[in-house]
Amino acid sequence: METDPLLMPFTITGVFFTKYNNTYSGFYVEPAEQTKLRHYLKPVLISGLGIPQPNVRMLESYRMDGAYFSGLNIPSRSVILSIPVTGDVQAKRAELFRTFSHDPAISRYTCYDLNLELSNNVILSLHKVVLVSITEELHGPRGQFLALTFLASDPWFYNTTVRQNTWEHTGGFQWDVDQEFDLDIMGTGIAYPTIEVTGVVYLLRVLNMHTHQEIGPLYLQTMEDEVITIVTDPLQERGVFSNIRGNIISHVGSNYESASLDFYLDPGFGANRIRIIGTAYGTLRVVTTWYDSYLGV
Amino acid sequence: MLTEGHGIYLVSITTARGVTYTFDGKTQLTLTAGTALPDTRVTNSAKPLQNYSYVEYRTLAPRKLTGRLQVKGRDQFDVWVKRQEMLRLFNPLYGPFTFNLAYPDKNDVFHLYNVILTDAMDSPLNVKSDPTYAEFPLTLTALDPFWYGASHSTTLDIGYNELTIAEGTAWLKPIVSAQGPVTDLTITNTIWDYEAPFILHVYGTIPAGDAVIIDCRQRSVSRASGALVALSHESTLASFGLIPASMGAKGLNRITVSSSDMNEGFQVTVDWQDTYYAI
Repeated sequence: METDPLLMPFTITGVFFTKYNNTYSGFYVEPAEQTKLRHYLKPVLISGLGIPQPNVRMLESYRMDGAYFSGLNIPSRSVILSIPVTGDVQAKRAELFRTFSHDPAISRYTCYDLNLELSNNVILSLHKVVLVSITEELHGPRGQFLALTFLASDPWFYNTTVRQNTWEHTGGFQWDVDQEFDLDIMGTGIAYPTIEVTGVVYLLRVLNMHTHQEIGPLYLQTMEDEVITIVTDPLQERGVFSNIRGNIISHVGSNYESASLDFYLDPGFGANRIRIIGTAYGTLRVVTTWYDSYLGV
Repeated sequence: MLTEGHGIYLVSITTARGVTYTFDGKTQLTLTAGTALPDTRVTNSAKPLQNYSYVEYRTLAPRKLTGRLQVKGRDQFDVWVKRQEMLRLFNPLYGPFTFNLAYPDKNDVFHLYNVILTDAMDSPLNVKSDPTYAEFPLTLTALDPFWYGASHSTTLDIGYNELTIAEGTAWLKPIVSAQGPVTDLTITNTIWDYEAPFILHVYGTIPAGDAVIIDCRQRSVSRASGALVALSHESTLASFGLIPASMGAKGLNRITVSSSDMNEGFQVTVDWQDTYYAI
């Protein structure tokens, strides 16, 4: 089992941005049109790297002291970078505003990844941040700073290194699948995996035994060379897709996770145990990919 | 310890997944508020055009705690690892945790249950200041607002029992467990002669080998076997409690245990923790 790189000694060595510089037509943007531009900054003060304020939901009851814990979510994150400025602070401010400018109406198409470079060769990325303010902090002629506030609607820091697990099993002509394997999830935030299933299989079910979530059964017998891809990331186009038939979400069972695709890996349990159930013919292969995420650095 | 002076020194935190972390001085949490009486919710009853109202009842709101978490690393690399450990410890995604703390000059350990981070936990990275030190202001909420002390347990006899409770400053919410076989179990607690007793009445038969568990703090009733069970409508689970001496009646709880049928093996156990509004 690997060790979480953020539990090994490190420091933050730099901050840089990658820009999504899209041209768009209608409501759809081709990923190939996304070009990344790097803008390095040297901040002296960064705040907003820790745990953002959670929305904690409580239920109160008649004549009851305190409250029940119902659940929580992490809505967004603000990161503030203070950068020193020499010379004309107004000119620098205008230059930064031009660099990070965006049309608020289409901010999802003109936004940035904020990346933290760590000394242990890890890059943590805050996806699709937008600049919300630039304020000046003047401390005499030799102490001029600009504070840049970025809003990250997706509050997780993602390790940019993709994680992958491949599980493969060959049974007989027709065999009942009931197999388990572990996904070595790390970090402090949940990760939404993409699961690729290759092989002929009927009534496929994918379960996370730790979070008690299940996608399936898939009321469909797949064909040889057919690849089923289950995309659970809410920031992508979630769905169950076939390389032959297209979107096959309508063939998936109607439990909560199948309908919502709210299927994730939770590092709080350590490695998450995945269980595959179904009826297969020959070899069945499951490739799971995900990005470890962090609630704070 | 990193600092001395005012504040209460936290001994340990037990996470929702059962891991206990003890602050060792290189990491330290000092509470700045949260040990006194928490906010109260008063339900007033008033009549139209009448100049006064009267208090119908009062409950405590979840307890707010504020504190300061300090982290000292061997070097600038080590402090980042410790920051990660602390962010994991207070990660609200892992669910509410249990807070165990002690005054430095006393042996008593007090517990808070269902504590969760309710504000941002952030320590600005200042590259110009001491890179081996990080400090986080913390805002926590204890969904159960009471402080809990020592645990106690006693077995009740069939019939009349007297239970005197000396410690605590708030009503104690016990866990009452009854081991079968028993049918139509009734437990009452009479504190004042002029007021109706608190009642717990379990319908039906609890067979031998099974038990019914009534958790007055969680307001839940369950059976060890997982079978369904219900309290009768006359039960007062929401208010059933044990009175400590500081609340009156000299802390005397007059408890009766009765049933329509009971056999060998039947036993009632009451478990409670000393409970405090403030410490």
